[in-house]
Amino acid sequence: MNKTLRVIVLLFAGILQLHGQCDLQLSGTVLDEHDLTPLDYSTIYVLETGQGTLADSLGAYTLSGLCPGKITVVCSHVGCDPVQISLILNRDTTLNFYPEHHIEVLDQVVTTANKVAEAPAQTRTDLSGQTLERLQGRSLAQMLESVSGVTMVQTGPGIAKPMIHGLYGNRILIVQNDVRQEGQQWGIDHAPEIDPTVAGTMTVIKGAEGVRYGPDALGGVILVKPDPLPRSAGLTGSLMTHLQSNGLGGKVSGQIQGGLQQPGWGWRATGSLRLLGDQYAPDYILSNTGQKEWGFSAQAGYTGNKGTLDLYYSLYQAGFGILRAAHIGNTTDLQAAIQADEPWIQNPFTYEILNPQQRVIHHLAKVEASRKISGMWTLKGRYSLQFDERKEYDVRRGDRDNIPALDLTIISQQGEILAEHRPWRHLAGTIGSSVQYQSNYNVPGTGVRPLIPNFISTTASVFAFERYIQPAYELEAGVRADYRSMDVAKFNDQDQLIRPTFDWFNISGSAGGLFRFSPDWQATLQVASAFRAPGANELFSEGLHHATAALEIGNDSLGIERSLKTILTIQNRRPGWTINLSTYLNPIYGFIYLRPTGDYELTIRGAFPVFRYQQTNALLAGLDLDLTIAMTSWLDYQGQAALLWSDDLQKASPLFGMPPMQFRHSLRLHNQPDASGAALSAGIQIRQVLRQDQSPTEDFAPPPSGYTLVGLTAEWSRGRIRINAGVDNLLNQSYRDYLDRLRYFADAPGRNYYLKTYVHF
Amino acid sequence: MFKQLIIPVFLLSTALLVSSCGKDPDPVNEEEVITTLTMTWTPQGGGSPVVFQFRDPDGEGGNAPTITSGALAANTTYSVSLELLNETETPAEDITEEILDEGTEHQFFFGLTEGITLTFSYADTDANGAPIGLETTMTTGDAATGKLQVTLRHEPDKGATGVAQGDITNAGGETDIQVEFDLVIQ
Repeated sequence: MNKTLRVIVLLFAGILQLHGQCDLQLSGTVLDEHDLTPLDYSTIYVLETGQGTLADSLGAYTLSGLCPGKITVVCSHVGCDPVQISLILNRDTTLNFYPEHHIEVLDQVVTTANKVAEAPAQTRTDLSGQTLERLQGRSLAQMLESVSGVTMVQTGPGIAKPMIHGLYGNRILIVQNDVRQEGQQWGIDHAPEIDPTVAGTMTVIKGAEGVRYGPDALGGVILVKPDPLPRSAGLTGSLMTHLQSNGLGGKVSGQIQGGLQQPGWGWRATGSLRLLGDQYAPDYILSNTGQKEWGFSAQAGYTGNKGTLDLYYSLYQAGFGILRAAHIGNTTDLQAAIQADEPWIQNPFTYEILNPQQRVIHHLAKVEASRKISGMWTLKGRYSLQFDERKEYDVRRGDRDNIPALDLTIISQQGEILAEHRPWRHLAGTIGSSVQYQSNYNVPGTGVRPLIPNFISTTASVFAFERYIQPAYELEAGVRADYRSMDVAKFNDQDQLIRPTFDWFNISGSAGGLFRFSPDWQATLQVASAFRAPGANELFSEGLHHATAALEIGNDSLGIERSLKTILTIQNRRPGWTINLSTYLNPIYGFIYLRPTGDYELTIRGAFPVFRYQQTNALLAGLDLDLTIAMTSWLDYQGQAALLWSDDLQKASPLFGMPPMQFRHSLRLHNQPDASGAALSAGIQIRQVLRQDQSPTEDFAPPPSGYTLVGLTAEWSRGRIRINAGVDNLLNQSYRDYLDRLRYFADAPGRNYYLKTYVHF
Repeated sequence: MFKQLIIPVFLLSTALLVSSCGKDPDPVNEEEVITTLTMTWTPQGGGSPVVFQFRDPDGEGGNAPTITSGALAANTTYSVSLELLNETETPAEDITEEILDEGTEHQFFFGLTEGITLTFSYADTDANGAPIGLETTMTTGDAATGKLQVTLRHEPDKGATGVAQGDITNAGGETDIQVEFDLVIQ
């Protein structure tokens, strides 16, 4: 009966197709499967005929001029699995699509799409939802390290900076809620001044996105973005606690959000406190590695059809202890520390942070508004103010322990105006301009000559990018011009005030595309350039770097650094299987680095090797592999590999401090949630880091051996409650990491048990 | 209306920031620098003292330091005293006082190259009765030439084996001074 009917319908359709006119219309909306919010700019196309269109910013689409008959319609949204629906079309039809947006296949990192697929050519990884929640409790860099190709540069267990494809500090960019994070990011021991609690999504963009985000994005960009604000009344929130055994501490964080009676208005507040005492290596205590961090943020805004308003403020405060035994006086001390089996200072466990230590405060405030000025154009304006204070306390003589040896305040203001236009003949794009005004100030009274001088820096930029959208491919290109000036006030050798000024100008560009070969296969290719003006430390440092017992001399004739990063990512996605392979090539022209001059300078503390900032041409190349396999209905595997080659093209030797090859494997057993909704899972993670064999010979100590760490986790969840327990470094392995600056002095932390609970309300 | 407000607010805040930070900074006096180490050898049997000196009046970087030493008599006992100065300040700051005040946190050590005989004993003590080394007694052996290394450690472990006797091996701490003098015993 059923069959007969289908045959009849098909026949009927066939007749219609033969005789009918191709004037049928298919229309509908593309909505997120989970929260039914519109997914904008999805592509919808008919597989048989190739006819396609693009949904608008509210997810609505219309395909017209269709012939009657059986058609297969594919809806794809960047990062989502394409949705494919077959139907027989015999009259104008409404069809809504619900692509699954957040794909939580496994325990760790899953590539998903941003709601606004703003840049199809980007190779990006988003951490959001449960994946992000599971990482909370750790530092920002530790959280991001779960993304392949991202490593961290550490100064002991507490202080870590994220590194993307071998670059960190002022060669990558961190963007907090659309504002370039500006602090003292040049310092290798200056962790990013952000409370990870504010993030609803953390995104790692691996391309050199200088055109979109401005100078310094040579290695990539990290976006820390709060979730969209609620748009209707009702109160929700969450509370997380994280306790850990190593350091005997943890983190408590929470967020609460709600909407106002008037539709469109919403608000959110977050807060967190993180406290750890001294951590332990397997064989000894790491004295003075305690840390305190707390953060607060408040946000309010309006989202409507005509425009948006976003008010945002965040505060981050932190205190970090630096391993006491790493404070040394000269090269003899350094050699002694390298040869010693254990750090020479080991005190009883304490939460107290003594010198050397750092204290940091960072305020960020932003106002952003956008308005639709026509059916085509939306105008967006943004102003932000950041205040960053960094005090570093050293082990000093006399009663100077409470006087910072470094006391810097940097105030940054940014203004940006953007005009975005909706797809017009398959073209969508943005033009904009931005200004940044920054003043860096040494607070007097340290009794130490400042490491970097006072300066005022201004950056002005104009940029534009356009994308061309077709069902099977999208192309994107952009161009940007930046002008940066820096006015410096410093003292020369004779204590005379001098005021050198610098100007830099640069044009950067990017081009790329997304290619959908089939519902399973897609590829993105991007070639992007970015630049960086030399930093104040590179231009003006002149003095002893105590941590490495080296005299570092700045070079005020340095020019700008340019990179041209090509990144190709191929993705195959099918049920139960995802593979993602990214390969990249990043030549950097004028790469600034500290080169040993071979000279020694005699001081009252002994002779110190002299390093001078120099420029060379460098090449970075590598690949990241991500593999996810659902092996059975109860067992998942996830694997990662990251490889990087580096070359100083002038010296024909590898670059210093590049991440060694590493692999991660994880297996997870899980049940299918039962009738009560309870879900149970358990997993094992193995992380393998090889020895860095590509390291220049001039190092204080040879690269440490590779290591393998094993971790276990177990998780139970039901409804609004989730409990997660586990252990890091299960085998209590003693190891030192090549990218940890304190590897000369002590082992990395040993075994750590943790317990986390999350409650959503 | 908006535009009219935004521009003055932006200019005003910018002006405030410029005026607070743009004024001329004052030069910084390095407070913790030790520029000069003077080692005075006074023969216990009488006679004119011999002076060794390491002097780097502009501190680290800049001009190279000058190091001078004199000849010591063989088989002679000397009272040796050390004086430390910060000559980047005028008048020069006496760091010796500071070391003495924080005696428990400081200790001098003396090292020799092979083939030279110089026995020494500490002649001063800190608040805990452990040596500091600003005052020592040194006895030369037979005629020889070599090098004498003077080391000042900050926060050493004075209780560790041999440290009170002047053995630096287990002392730890960080080096504040490490200076080598040519030593001539004749």
